[in-house]
Amino acid sequence: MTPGVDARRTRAADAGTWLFLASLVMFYASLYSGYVLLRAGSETWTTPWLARPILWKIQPFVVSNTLWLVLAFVNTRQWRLAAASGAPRSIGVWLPTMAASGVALAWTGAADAMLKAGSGPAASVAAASWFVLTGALALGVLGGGLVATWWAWRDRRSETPVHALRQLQRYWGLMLVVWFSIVVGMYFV
Amino acid sequence: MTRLTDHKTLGIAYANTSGVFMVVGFLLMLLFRWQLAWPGQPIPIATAIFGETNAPGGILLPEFYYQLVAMHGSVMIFLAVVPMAVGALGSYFVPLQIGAPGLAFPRLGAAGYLLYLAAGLLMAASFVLPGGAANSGWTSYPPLAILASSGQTVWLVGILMLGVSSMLGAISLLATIVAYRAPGLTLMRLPFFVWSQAMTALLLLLAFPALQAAAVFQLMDRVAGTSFFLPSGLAVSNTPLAVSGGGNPLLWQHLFWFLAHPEVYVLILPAMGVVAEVITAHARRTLWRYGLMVGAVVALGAWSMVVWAHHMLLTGMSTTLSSFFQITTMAVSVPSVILITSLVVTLWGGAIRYTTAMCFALAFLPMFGLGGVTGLPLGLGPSNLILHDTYYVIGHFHYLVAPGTMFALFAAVYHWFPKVTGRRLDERLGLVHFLGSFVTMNAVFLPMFLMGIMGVNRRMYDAGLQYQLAEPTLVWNPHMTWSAVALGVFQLVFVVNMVWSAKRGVPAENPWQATTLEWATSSPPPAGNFAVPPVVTGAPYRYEEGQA
Ligand code: HEM
Ligand SMILES: [Cu+2]
Repeated sequence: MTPGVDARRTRAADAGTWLFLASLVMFYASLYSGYVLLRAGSETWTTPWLARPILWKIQPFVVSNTLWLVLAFVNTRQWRLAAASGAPRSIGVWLPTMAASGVALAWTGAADAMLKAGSGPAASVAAASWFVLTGALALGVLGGGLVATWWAWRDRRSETPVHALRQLQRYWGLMLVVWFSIVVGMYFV
Repeated sequence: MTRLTDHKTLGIAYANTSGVFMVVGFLLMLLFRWQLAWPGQPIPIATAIFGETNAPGGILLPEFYYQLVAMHGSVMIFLAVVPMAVGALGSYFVPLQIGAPGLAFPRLGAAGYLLYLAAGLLMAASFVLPGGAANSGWTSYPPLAILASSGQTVWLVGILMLGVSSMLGAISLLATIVAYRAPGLTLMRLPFFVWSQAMTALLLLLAFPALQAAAVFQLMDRVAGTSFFLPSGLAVSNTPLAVSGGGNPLLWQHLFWFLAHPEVYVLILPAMGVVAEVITAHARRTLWRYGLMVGAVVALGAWSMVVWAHHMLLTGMSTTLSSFFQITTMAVSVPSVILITSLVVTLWGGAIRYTTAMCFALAFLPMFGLGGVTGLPLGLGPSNLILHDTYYVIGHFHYLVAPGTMFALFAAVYHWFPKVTGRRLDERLGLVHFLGSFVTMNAVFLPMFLMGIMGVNRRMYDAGLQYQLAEPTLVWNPHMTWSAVALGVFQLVFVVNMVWSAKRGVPAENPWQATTLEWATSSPPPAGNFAVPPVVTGAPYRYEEGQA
């Protein structure tokens, strides 16, 4: 393969990833704006997950979610740096996978706490917003985890291209941003 | 799947599939046009085809009528015109016009097509569900849509799939334009068609997620018992609805129109691109003020994301907000006018050849003009008060999409048929197709403006019989339906022409002596498109230099 063709591919992948992320941003922003508009326009809004019994149950999940996501992001970065220096096996490339599973588990746990407290999606628009927003994030994280798993397995005897890892890292970056927006908009406001 | 990874096969697959959906959408329309022309009169064979539940004694029930209308709009927009204008024309011609061997992500492109096909089949199949297909308009406003039968759920799933499909297609197309242009093909040397496709893809990419988010909310409301779009205290037939309430139906409208207004530009921008290609080649002229046109198409795309609430002027928004959207709406017509003016001025001093492609492209100009001009009164609060939700709106957007975009699509077929098949379409049959379509299209849609001005609501099962004041315009209804039938007959001429010419048409390599890159290879192009990768040394339209 001529270097010219390779450069074009990288360029296309770069552009493609940015476009994909832009589209995802619009998706999460639309869900988020739905939540904001509903909350701002409601006269009877209560925030069930901030009520005492659920809050205590949900808090650990919020914390672990954050940790897992940061871990996935940092680890993908390490993976990329290691790949760039030619030693990708030297770090645990399966961590994004674990992190994704961790987030999914944390979500299931939190959702369970919500349901047990009688705040299922049908209970109120607030509860419904919680399920949709955090659920969409968990799905996004799971998707990223699947890709990371696939790459780690596919390249178990070779090297994952550095530029591919750069795209993955950007993706985890976006997931982090979405998550922090949720934390600020749902848990601190 | 493997063959779909070739962008030409992909484009043809899109063209065939969306062509079939176009026919489906057209037939749905003929059915409800019957009801509009002769309300309550039985259609002779309807019971045999649609069964007692939909058409007892041949009379279309209201429930069925509304399915036909909702699915006509959904099929035409999401499954016919957009896939034809973007999926077919974009996939086939953009790589050729930029001198690329193919799409950047062929498998993404193919996956996008398969998702579209699956979504289309799913939505079409929903007619057999109990309660039938979606019946709440292509706009699917809640609460109605949430209370509707299960066809609506299928519609929502279909929309989610179409969103992913168009995202994949858009990424593939845009990345191709970014990374695979021929050496020397700078951005300001791109054919205008490529610019229009790039802007279209960008709009799909950025606006469709809003509808997907909305579809997720509505799906939750339908299947998980949430109340995103259901207000408190909602009662149906005097029975309070057993939901928590507290939601807001207007949220759907905001999210929907945040997509759907840009979506109308998705319908019109590729048409503008086609018309630019056809007019330059058949009038032997360079585009007038190419740079200005590029600026205008970019501005139009960007600006189209801040006008959405002109569809909601009567929803009780604050005066400030309403003024904002009225002003942005008036302003959006400026780039539209720039584009149309440039296209018209391009003709000035040209050596016009009245080919069928050119006739359709020329007809596009006044038709688009009429559609655009009638948008202005809609965009202003006082006149919107009178015209909103009337047949005037139907007239407005059909002038843009039917004699507008559809004519551009016809022009594209006549212009590029030789490129795809190596043979020309027959010009005499083409002339019949053009003249017939031109007259009948106008006969179908022009009266709608008058009906709308007389106040006839756009969603009447009985075509508005209770509007006594409007009687002088309602008498047009049977004529409109006959014209629609005649329009269909003239399309048969077109189909015959395509089938016949594909085998027997006059062989042609570059019958229009066009100078854009897609003509710099053989017709049809070989695998990989160009035997020798082209190098670009100048502007796309070089007709005045006499080298054609
Ligand atoms: C020239 C600038 C345009 C202006 C000022 C304009 C304005 C408007 C306004 C204000 C409405 C809402 C009417 C109402 O429901 O009360 C409307 C509806 C519509 N317009 Fe336009 N428009 C323009 C161009 C276009 C273009 C280029 C297209 C498509 C190719 C288009 C397609 C539509 C459609 C599909 C609807 C109706 C949607 C529905 O309610 O089902 N418009 N337009
Ligand atoms: Cu609009």
